[in-house]
Amino acid sequence: MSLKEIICKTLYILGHKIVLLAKNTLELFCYFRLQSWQDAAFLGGPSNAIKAVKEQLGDAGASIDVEEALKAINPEVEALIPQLSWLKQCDNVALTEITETHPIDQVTFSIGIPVPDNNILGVTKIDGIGFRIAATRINGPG
Amino acid sequence: MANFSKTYGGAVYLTFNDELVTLTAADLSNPRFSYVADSFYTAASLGQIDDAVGSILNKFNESTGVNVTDIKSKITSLSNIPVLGQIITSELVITEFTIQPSDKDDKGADKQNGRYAFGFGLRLTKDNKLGPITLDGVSFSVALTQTPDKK
Repeated sequence: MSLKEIICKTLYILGHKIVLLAKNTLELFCYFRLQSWQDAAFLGGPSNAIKAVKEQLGDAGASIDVEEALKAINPEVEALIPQLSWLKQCDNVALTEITETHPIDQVTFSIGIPVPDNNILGVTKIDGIGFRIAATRINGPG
Repeated sequence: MANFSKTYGGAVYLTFNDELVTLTAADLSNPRFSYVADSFYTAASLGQIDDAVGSILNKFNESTGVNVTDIKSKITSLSNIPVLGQIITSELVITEFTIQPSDKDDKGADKQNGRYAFGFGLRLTKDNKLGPITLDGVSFSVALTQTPDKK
């Protein structure tokens, strides 16, 4: 734990309380990181989860198209990272990250699942897999 | 309404002592999942060096050729960096982890070697001088390159 936590904002996503912390008092960088699967907020299938999260993240979140995002997990990606194929088909994924980087008007969030079986990636045994979406304002803040 | 560019990446989660360590990749087509600890205070605890290295090596499903005896020997041999010695006697946290699987072409041949790395360390509170510099922490890293089997 950090010595002192600065709460940037609190979101409620499908009834789950999600607290974003700030790096410092300027609150330019705010984040939520899942610390343990035991604490995870599960939000339903990937489409439902992405929709629920993006609706909480302002204009940047609103710019995210759910179907377009999930198309990024294409057959080539699934061949390289088969666990992402299972995430795409899973009916209950967890929110694992939200990051707001205010100076560049960027939001990033991830959904993920534990993978207790068939968990080989390269020569490693992974414990979970996630899909990460970032939206960044092109022209900079207004 | 403002325009926003989108990028779609991935994440890999490793669990150490029930704590999630998140490795992220910006590009799914040629993924390099990496984690660097933000802080010694928030990084996942690994225990002392034997348990720490054991926990990390347990995340590999093939022999890496790395073992804790060799790591201790290497640290001890670096006599010009005496602060590293505290890694052998202290509680450690994970400081970095990288997973970059080998990329194969459509015939299954390696286009790119797999690359892996991990590191562990501690925040220093005493005996923390390196030359004229007062260090806040120290870490030891191991980088691995997976080369194709010779036929």
